[in-house]
Amino acid sequence: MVRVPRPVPGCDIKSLPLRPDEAYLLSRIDGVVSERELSLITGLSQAEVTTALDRLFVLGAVDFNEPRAPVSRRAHPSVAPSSGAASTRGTEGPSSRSFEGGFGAGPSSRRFDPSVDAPPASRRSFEPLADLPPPTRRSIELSAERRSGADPGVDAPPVTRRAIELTVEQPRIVDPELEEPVDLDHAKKKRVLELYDALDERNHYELLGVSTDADKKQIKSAYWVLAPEFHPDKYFRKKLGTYKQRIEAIFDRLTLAHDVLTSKQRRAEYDAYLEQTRRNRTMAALLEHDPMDIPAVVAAAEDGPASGPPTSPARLVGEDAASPESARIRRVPFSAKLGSTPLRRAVTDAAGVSSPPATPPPPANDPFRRYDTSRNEARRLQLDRYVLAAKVALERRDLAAAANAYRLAVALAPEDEALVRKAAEIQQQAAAELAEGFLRQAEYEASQGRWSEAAMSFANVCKARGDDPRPHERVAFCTLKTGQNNRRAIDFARRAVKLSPGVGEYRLTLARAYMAAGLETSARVEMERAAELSPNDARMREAIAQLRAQMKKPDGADPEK
Amino acid sequence: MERVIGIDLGTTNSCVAIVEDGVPTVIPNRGGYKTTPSMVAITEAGKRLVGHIAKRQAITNAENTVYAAKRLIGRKFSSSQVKHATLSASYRIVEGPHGDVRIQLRDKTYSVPEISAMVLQEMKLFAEDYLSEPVTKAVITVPAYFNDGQRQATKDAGQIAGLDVIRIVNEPTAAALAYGFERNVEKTIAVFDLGGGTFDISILEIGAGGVFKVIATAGDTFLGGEDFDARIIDWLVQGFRDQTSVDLRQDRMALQRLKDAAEKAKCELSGVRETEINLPFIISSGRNEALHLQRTLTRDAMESLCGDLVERCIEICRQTLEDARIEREEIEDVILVGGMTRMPRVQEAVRQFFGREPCKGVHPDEVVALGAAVQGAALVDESKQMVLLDVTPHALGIMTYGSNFEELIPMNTTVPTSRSKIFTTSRDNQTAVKILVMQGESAQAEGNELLGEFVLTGLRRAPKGQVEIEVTFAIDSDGIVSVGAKDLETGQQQSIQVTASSGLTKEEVGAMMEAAKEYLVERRSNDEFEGVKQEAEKVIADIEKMFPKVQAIVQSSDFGRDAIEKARAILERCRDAITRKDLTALRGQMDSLARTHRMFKGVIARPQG
Repeated sequence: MVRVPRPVPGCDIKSLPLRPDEAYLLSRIDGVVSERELSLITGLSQAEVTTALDRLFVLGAVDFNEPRAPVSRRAHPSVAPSSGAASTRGTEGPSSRSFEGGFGAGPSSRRFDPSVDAPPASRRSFEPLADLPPPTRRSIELSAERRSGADPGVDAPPVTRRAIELTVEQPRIVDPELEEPVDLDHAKKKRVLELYDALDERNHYELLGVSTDADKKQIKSAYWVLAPEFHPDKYFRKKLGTYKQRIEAIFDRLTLAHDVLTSKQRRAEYDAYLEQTRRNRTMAALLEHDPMDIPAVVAAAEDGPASGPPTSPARLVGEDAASPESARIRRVPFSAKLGSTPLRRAVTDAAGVSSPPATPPPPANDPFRRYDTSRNEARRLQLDRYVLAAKVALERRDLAAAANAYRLAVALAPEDEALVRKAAEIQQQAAAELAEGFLRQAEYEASQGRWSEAAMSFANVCKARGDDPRPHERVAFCTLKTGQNNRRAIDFARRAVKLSPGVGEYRLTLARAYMAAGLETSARVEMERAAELSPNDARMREAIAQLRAQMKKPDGADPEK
Repeated sequence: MERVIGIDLGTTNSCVAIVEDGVPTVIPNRGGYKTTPSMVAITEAGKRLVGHIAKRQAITNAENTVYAAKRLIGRKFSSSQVKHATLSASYRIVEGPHGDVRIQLRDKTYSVPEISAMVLQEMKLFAEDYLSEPVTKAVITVPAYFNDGQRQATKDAGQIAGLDVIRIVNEPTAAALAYGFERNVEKTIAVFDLGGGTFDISILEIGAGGVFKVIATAGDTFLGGEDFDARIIDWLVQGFRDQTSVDLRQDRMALQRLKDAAEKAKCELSGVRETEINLPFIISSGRNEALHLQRTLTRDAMESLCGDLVERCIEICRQTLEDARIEREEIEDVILVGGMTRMPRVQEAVRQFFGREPCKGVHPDEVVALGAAVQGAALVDESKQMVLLDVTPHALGIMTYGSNFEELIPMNTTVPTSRSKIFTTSRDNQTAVKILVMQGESAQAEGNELLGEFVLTGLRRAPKGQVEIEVTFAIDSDGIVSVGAKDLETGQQQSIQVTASSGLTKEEVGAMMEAAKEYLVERRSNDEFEGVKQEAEKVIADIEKMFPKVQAIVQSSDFGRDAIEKARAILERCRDAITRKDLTALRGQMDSLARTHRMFKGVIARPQG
């Protein structure tokens, strides 16, 4: 699995706690060079690159392509990006994007926005593929626990090239953190740094190094070994410098993992959550991506070791899909050149979805004639296969797969009204199920106090339930809890109030959002209305009283409620 | 490597221990006892008495004898607990300069940490005697339910006593350490600790490799043996009033005798079914007629007097298990700690509640000090395979508007830990925010203990709501709370350590430390003088016994007469040094004295003729 990192636009690199080697690595990242190649051109070891990339990812400085099989990029035909094709997706303006769009759950489960127009990647002089189209960028909303100064996904200006290049010239030096004079040996330092940097990416099982079906005893044993190693008492009155905090953070997370996994109830909740996130990710990927890229997307979403996408014929003829978007961009003129309908694409693609390619695709130089003669027959066969696949999927209650199969079928027979209706119906059902899944995910995240993730998941619910006020209110509430982006809280709370003007609670949340944004007059108005709407609710009264007190006392900190 | 002593600073008794050759051992005091009463007295002559000797004179010097100082440590004078103690204590409790508690003994007032320091100093001396080397490092235990202020005051006491308190450990946790030390068990245990003044319950998990993980801890810092005594005293006073219409509470001396008798009766009833309380001449009536108190107390009667106290302990256990979501069946062993657990009624209640026989393998009075010593050794000695994963017994949070308490770190969170939360400014161009750090479980801020407040300054000037500050609360394994704040946009950071107020300023602690040192020097030289004096007096007595005989033998020669004169002069100088309490002078004579002694012995041993 090869990861191709790319810089996140709008990320304020200067504000990040980067080490020189990370900054150096970052300066080499252009969205084209793969992880492995980075190791070659920087002289850093593969492991060092991986660690540094993970950290840069956590810090929100880079994002990754979907993992894919290595493909020789040198064989690519040069295709200019077609702005017309690109605009079929991200049409929202930058401001509406941050509220409505941009919540497609990518394979990484982080929010990404396919429509961001990123500045061209900084190119290295020896890059032979100078005229490749710029890869699509993603922006990341970092989790609340680890945020950089600016929220790159929303209002931040695109990253200036200077910011990147400022760090380019720094020579690679020995890791200063490993050089810190503390009472720890080198191996220990390394272990602490590695584990600390990986904390955010590992789930509880990975952190403790146990399998997901480990029993309580195994989990405890793992904890009994790890906890003493990272308990500060093991380094009593030793000089630990910055390592003290890291060791404590690791211990804290280990204990959380232990506490969650050894409690039957909490573990069940956590497992359900992990499973839900995985399913949501897969499903969102299936539903939201062009059918063409489904194998890659599914593989990426499943994130398993054996999930390398089957090499689809489309790729063999040179489609190095850096992302669904660029794939489509390039595909349109390509198929136009071939003078074919989308049929051929669908045929080759279907092989990727339902079964490994049974028949090799006709070589590109095959005469069109031969292709035309078999056209109707192939189309019939293919259509039947999709409809059957859809039915099988429905029987399994796999709505996402069914919706996808119907979508493919409709692409083959857009004139079949019954089929189109059925496809739309299933698509809707699937979207509803996905929303349900995101709701569960969101509720767990909210219950764990992971507000920014919860806000994101609730926003995903809103996408399918545009007229349900509750998730909108929840997005506002959770966003307020993170203390970030009060505008967004206001917009979502407003939507909730608009949908259900008679619910005092929604108005209260809106009032809080106004309050947080410093719009005291508006806050007051909403609060009074909320008070009118729920005159007898004790909880509401208390909340209102608290908010009033907050208004009266301009001094001091504002704990976001 | 310097050795670390473990001190169980109890409400009624204290105990000191050390790990010797890998074995935790209790250090006996000078009287040979393993525990020492936590009592301090000042005599009429201004002499300080600590321990058994203070206890023995408590009746006659009740007003100047402090007991149960632990119930006052780290508390505010205005607190209800102190008010309650003021009513029943025989010594005078006054308000200190910071609203803290001071104790008036003779013409001087002492802070509570100073009083505790006197006990600690005594324990330190026992250890030094035992080890024949100076001791400076100690682990001191406190009830699990002590708040930060009480812990800090205990640390201050240690510092005043000249000890580097490397860790404060919870008593039930210490007991578990002693229980599980090098036993290599994997168990979930409960420690039921009913001491003189406090009740604690802790649930721990002992894992492979010497890991002790506290799961939950709770308690009541005003529930202990003293309360049982108080019930008996009430019963005695009530009965006496019914008989004679005389209120014994009006007489401090009588009250002290009642207290002693109640404690004695309580202890006896653990072994026998009934006991006689006999206090002749307890008070004189209005007509100058002496009155006697004589009553019989049965175990059943006492149990009914104190039944609700035992119930309260069990209720706390129930609540703790519930909060920690632990079933009673999961508890694989129950350890009883504290003298009060000798009471059959308590043992029975524990047996019933946990559905199993409590562990008999630990000594309820010594196990806590042993555990403290184990923790001390584990901290300084890397080869020790033991680590304690403790929890914070109280929730930590901040005060928010409307005087509400917003929890950041919940109770029973394993430390070290840290939690963050975002705050924003609420005024345009606000450059500072004030944060009140509190500890406790009450939803209302005033129900909790204020640990400290601080103001974060140097914020970026901006319209209100725009400056986002991430505030992080962290508790490290020493229980020290630090609060860090970071301006999210600029990345500017500030951090502060929140130390609970013990009621004493740094300067005061420093001054008290100096005073304690002086006392120690005086006390040391006094001890030394006493030692030399005893030795000298023994030799002098011996010489004097031989004197006539030797004189008779050597009188004939000039040399002999000269020697006799010299011996006389030496004896005189020695007696003089003893009267003047002049240690240096006495020391200077010791060699000559020994020579004289040898010479006299030699003369007598020589065959006559």
